[in-house]
Amino acid sequence: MTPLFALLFDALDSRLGLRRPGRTVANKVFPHHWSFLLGEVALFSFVVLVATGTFLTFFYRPSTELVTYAGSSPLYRGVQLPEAFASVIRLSEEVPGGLMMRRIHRAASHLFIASTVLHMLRILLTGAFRKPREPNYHIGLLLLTLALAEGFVGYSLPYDSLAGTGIRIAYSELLSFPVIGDQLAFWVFGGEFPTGDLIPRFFVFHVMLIPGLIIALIGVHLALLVRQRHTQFPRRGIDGHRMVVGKPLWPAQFQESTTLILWIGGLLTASAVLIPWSDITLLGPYIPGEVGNNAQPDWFLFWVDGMLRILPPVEVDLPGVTISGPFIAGIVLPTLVFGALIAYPFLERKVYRLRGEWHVLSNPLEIPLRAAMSIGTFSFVLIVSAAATNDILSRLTGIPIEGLTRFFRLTAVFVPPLLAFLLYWYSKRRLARTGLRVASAEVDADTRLGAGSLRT
Amino acid sequence: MSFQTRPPEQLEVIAERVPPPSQANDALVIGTAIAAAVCAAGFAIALLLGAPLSAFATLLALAMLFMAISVRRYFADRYPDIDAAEPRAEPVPDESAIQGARGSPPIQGARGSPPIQGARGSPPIQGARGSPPISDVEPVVGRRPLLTRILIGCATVLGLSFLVPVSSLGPAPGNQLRMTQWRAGRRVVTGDGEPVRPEAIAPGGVVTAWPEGAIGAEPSAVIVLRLTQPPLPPTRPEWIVDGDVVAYSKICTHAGCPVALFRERENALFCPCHQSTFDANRGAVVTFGPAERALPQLPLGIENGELIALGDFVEQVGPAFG
Amino acid sequence: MRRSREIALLGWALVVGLAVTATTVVRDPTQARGQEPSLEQGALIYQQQCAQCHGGDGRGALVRGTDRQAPPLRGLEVAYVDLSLRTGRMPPVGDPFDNRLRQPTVTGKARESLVAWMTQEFGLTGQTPAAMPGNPSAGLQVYQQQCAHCHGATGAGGVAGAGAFTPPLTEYDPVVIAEAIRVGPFAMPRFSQRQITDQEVNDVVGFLQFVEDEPRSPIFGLLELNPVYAAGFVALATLVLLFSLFWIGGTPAWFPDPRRSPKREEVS
Repeated sequence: MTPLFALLFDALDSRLGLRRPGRTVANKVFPHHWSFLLGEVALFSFVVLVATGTFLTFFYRPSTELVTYAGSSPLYRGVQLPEAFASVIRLSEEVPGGLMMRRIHRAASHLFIASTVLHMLRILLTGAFRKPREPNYHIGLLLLTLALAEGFVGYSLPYDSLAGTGIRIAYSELLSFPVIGDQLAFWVFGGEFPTGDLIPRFFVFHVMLIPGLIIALIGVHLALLVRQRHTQFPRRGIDGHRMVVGKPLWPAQFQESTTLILWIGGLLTASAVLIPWSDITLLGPYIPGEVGNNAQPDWFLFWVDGMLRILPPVEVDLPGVTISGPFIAGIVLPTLVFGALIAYPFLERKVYRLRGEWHVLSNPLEIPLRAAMSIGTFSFVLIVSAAATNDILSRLTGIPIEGLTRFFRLTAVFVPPLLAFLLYWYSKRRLARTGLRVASAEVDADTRLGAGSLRT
Repeated sequence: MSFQTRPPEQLEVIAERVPPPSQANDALVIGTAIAAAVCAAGFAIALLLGAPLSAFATLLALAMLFMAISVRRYFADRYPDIDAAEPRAEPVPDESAIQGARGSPPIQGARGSPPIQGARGSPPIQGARGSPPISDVEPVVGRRPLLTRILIGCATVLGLSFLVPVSSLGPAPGNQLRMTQWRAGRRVVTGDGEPVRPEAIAPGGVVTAWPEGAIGAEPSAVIVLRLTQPPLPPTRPEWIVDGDVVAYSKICTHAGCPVALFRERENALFCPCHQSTFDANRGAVVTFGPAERALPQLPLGIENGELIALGDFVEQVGPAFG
Repeated sequence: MRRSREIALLGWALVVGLAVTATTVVRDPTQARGQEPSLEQGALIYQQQCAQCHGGDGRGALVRGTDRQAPPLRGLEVAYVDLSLRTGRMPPVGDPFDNRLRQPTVTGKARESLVAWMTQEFGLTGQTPAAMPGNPSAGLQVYQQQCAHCHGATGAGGVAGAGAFTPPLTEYDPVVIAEAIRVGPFAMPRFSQRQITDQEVNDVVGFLQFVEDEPRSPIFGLLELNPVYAAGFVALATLVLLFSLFWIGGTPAWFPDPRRSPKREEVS
């Protein structure tokens, strides 16, 4: 410690009693594996989002009233534009560093969602959701949902032609809710589409409500993590059920986190130079009633859009209620997928008659149910996501788009169950071959082998 | 020293590797740190001088990347690499005694067993058989239980009433979704407000049009086409002008995207969002894709050489609503 | 050793030299010599490149190897023919019914000769419109309302279903844009003068040229990022991220198998 820092610390310590909790924090042990950094990547992306987002809010105008653009862009000089779009053009074309901030913000949003998904995959595949960590897992799923919502609302704010198309489809999705759909849509939009209320409301969601929720939930998520401690990979000679082995927060984890945030920041900025992440200048403002070809949402909503494309025509008229394709694709499908993810810990607990607490991670290939469910769910989501790219694929390959749509219908139905079955069979064989079976209590299992594994 | 006697915040070191001093590493730390500072200064100067994005953003990226390397190498040199261990909280014993027992206390803590989380010596959450409750103040015995239920019930009503301001967010839809702005006699105009004349539309041509006075009212958007083949049922012939000029709602009946791609050879209307295809020759029925209903046909007439509507659509416009 | 290497080098020099000579000296017979479009040359090109599908008399014929008919050329608009040649749609390289983007093969004076000959022989109607770049700002507004739903928001091209593809527009000459708008070739609708005025056509051309002239990204020369391409970049970035985590986080194995003993000391 440098003398100045020591002086400062002593001054605070004598008033706040920092030394003892400080030691506890600094000596806290973190298991050491690269996949444990995925959650940190998500956290740091969120920090970047808040930092760049604050800069953006100083320029963005949340209104779709028409204003005359008075800036320098030759494409829009003297043209009447929605104020939100005009403010983003100004930010991109005239504010020094504005376009860089926009691109970093968009790149960080992609990284935030991608790393959250990967982090969830790690938790799911290695079994870190087992008791007592189900609440934290569920909070994580809630964070993922909020991240998806935040991303959608965020890229709708510039009100360019692509964003407006997405907003129109969101309106149709709200309408598709049985019984209450029309009222729900009118509440969210403030009337029949298009309204002037929507963008200001999206702004409030994007800048205040959802980030506030995310920050609060991250706080709870981390607090639970500190309290319950990390799970860890099995190690020979260590009883992971009783001990956490790894590296201390100071200096190892601190070094990793600092290196990570600088590295992530650098990569995001480099990507902002090379890739025009959110450039909308050439797209033009959203004009209700007009659309541009090649319209997709951002990648994290491809699964919903792909489902909208490949679902055969469905419109069931029951007395007082209409169930339509958009309801099934946009509401039922995500509910089923997230429902499966939420329910999975309890399903696994019941099927394998698990008891007690679990603190050691397991290899998903040795837990047949987990392997099968994971690959079944994710292969389905991936195939349906790929279906959302069918128009680009058609243009690149020359295959008529109708053929591609039919191909994706078939693969989405048949490939996931097939893969699930194959992996289930492989996992059982692997267990049999190595003389193991799925343990039902960690205290009984040889945690030096892996929490799933019990010698037969 | 065993785990029980060691102060909880002291580190239990398992392995320690002290890095040897390395000139190369020191040089790397210094070099990358200085490079980071130089790039950061360069970024600042470039941004202030109005340099292009590729210049200042590259410098900023390099500054952060160099600094990351420098920090990592600094710590690798200055501190030993330590593997440490710490005990978890006293784990909860086998719960098979209370598993599946309906009516058992909702939170863990079976007879006499130590409670869950965090444990050494902390009081448990709820009173299970044998373990003390959270608060030491018990309710007075013999008071009416009905009061509790009434209170909770009414508090629920109060809580729910807080949701009611949500209804102020938007009007009740009423009949709005079942109607558009088209009325009998209303002229068909382009986005610039000019009335559409049939002779302005070439064979195979398509125009986006609106009711006069309601340009931009999206559910009322229509496309006016001149077909290249004779129209067939279920296209309504009484709503066709000039033998082959017909108007359909532009809003796709699947998810609401505007349908304006017109393949003039087959007279096919194609929605770019999810590829619903409608046959304009035959009343815009769906021939491919996820849409289920045909595009409604606008009752079209002509007055003084200008296209007018003969009334509102007779079918539901746009996507279905629950 | 040395000697064989020298011989190899000489051999390569010879091959490269021949190739260069061939491309510069040997001329494509369809490329025009001389300055004036000549009807004889037009006839020659038609015989060599068009007659086998469209018939020597321009009345259309069966395309060899398929059961589909090539359309008759008599009485077509001259702008339609000119457009087909300028975009490289005709004469086709490869499958003549695949309407994705091609490179023009009959260009310059050769094209003019061919068009002149066909006008005379087959009675092509009308004239090729003139166009020059107008106001890109006004052009964007026209483009959004009349063109974007087929050709994509920045003229990148798209899909129109049933094997029809709308081509990317930003590299075409102004006259090509004007011809396409007026003629409505293939599956494209036709826009009359009343629907899109000549000035608006010029403005659209101006907008497309503005898009073409915009500085592009260092990778793949992108102007805007369609979400599908963005997804590709996100996948790439995720890979980069994972490799970064391997570096920063240390352990390379994806799942450390304790049954294979690690290199660490055992804990007693």
